[in-house]
Amino acid sequence: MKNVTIIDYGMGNIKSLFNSLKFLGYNPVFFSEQKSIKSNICILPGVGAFNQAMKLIKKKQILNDLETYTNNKDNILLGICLGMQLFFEESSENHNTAGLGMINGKVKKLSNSKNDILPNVGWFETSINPNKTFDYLKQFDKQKFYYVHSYVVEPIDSKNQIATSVYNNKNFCAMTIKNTNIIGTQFHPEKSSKIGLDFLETLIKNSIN
Amino acid sequence: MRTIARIDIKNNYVIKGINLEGLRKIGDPINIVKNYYSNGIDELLIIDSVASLYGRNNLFDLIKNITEDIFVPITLGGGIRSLNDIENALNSGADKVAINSMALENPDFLKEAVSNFGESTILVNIEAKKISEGKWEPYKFCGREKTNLDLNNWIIEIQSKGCGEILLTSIDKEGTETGFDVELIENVEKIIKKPLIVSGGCGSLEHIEKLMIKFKNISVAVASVLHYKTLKISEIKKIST
Repeated sequence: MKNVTIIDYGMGNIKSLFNSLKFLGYNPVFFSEQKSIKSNICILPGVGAFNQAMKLIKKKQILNDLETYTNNKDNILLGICLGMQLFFEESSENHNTAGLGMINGKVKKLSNSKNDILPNVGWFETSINPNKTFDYLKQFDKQKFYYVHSYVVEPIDSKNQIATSVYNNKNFCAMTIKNTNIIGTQFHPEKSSKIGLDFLETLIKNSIN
Repeated sequence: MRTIARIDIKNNYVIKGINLEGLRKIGDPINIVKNYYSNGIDELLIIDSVASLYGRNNLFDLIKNITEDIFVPITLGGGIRSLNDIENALNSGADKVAINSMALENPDFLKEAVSNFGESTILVNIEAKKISEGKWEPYKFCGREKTNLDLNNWIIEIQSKGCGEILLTSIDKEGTETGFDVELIENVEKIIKKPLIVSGGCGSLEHIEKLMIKFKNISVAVASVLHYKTLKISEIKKIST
């Protein structure tokens, strides 16, 4: 059984991610148990606040491991929701906090209008327009995935953005990539029913050498 | 609009009442949730209907069991009275918890819950009963106990403490299948700044259609129409998306 590492840094619900990987026939391994990433696919999950997440990542000294891991281009890193937001340089959630800085750009609130309803919760159609490396994700274009978030990533370079969805008639970034081995989703594939499981499985299958 | 299946549980059985009373046994929870999942339900709301009364939630094992092969958001409610309860719920595989009675006893509990688990994890469950023209009151313990609070003030208060979503159950309409409590929803819609899920009264597709025309950004939690097979999940989703 192929191992998939889940970075467990103490934020949010990782049980459903664990269960979904198991359901798909993989062997999910928590980083907190192994203390190193011993698979070539690794998932950075997260539900909660950006500043709190960065504090925990630093405290648990995960930074170096993530860097060493992603320097090897055969290793795939998938960030989900807050996990993807952490790839960016900075977030304004609670107070400005520096992120992992893998992708240029910031994390901002979806809307600053008092009349807009946040968090944005629900199943939203997602337009996916991947580059060559992630071409196999094209099959999920226009599918509905489950989102729950109040913040969004804003990559400076449009090359880093491969999908969008819509909030209040405005597009927001739904998926990001960096190089050939870092990819993130704003939605939760592990909570998006059969289509979400299919997405995870396709991504993992195409990433495993 | 999300279509959420509301599953009330008592002594290991899915039950259904009218006005949150006179409970009738529906069947085995595991079979029922698996059936709703495979038919495309958007979310599951699973409530231990006597937990608050007895001071504990008995559904952690059930949640553990169903989340091994059900992959839509699951909210667990009933008897969530401490941060430890929330942690147990999440560790069992729930994504969110629904809090009612404990919030009414100690509104600051919401603040604590949000700062520990993030607002998207915390759903406030309001069980509202009409007391006079244009006035509603939130109830405790699954509609069993009065609070003497005003519903609108209560909504303002919970939003100031923090939460990710609000579930509004109309006790007057619950289980009646006579349509959603439009008057109640109209009354609170303007002050609600969080995603709103309404529950109680759904008996037909027309009821949902009516709701969708009148209110934007609203989700529904339905029980009777699914339990008694009056409607198919696919039919509801067809009109709601």
